[in-house]
Amino acid sequence: MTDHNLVLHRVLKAPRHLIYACWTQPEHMVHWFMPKPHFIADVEIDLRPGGKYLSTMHIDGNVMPSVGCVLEAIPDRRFAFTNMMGEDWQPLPGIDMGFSATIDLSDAPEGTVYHVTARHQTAEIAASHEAMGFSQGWGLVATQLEAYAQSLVK
Amino acid sequence: MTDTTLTLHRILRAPRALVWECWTSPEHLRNWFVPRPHTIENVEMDLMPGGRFNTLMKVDGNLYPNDGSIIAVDTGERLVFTDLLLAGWQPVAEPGLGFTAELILRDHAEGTDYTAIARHRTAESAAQHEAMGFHDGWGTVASQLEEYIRERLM
Repeated sequence: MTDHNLVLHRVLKAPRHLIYACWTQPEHMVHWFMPKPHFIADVEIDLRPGGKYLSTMHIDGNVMPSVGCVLEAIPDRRFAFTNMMGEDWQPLPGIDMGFSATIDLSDAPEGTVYHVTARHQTAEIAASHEAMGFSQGWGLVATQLEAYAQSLVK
Repeated sequence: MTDTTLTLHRILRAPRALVWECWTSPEHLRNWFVPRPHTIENVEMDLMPGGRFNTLMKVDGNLYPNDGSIIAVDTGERLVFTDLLLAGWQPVAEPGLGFTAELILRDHAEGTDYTAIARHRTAESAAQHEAMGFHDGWGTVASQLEEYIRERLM
């Protein structure tokens, strides 16, 4: 189902454990997750399979709550979540753009191989996600993530 | 969200390790997983988070595929699966019931404390599952499971 998937592949010049921390800790998430000047707030992450993954996105004055569920949390290697379920894998009603996202991390000489896969219910949804700016947006926030993670290096 | 949740609780007179084995081995699962005289013609299960869990049910001569995935595995204690996601966290375009199921096993003086929880997207969907015979069906197969273990594996 490759046409259902969008993939972003980058090498980030920051340590793998910090990239994982930035993806999984609310206090870090708020610094890089949205293309500026948009931002997220009220991030709640219960870092376990079935744990809640919540935030509110602030885009041009609009506030959009985002509800999801952690699927996999393998420290410093993989983080996966979906918007099709809430806490304890509770299926959510009225999902019109169901996706799961998997962030795979591995070592690179320069830092971290950063591989994001966004999987969608249909090829049409994937295409509309792409049209909404997936590659550009996720690419932009990957750059923000890299800069923020570098600022955490002690 | 209790109105979206259906729960079956039983004590099975069978050891927990065997109940677990029967749930997680295709060669065992096909012997008890659907109420007789219906049959399971094929089972594909990769017992890991994001692994496939596909069954092919035969009812009155008609074949019904049920494709989904394993979400969480705590060996001997808990199995979580869904029809909302396929292997590799691939979202399903048009899920059947749209559920997640959680099987929880605990030791009991008489054998195994057996809890099956089915979570649904809406109260209507849960009611539909109930009307389709959730308690009868899951209760019947729990009895079949107990009988299978006691007659064939003990």
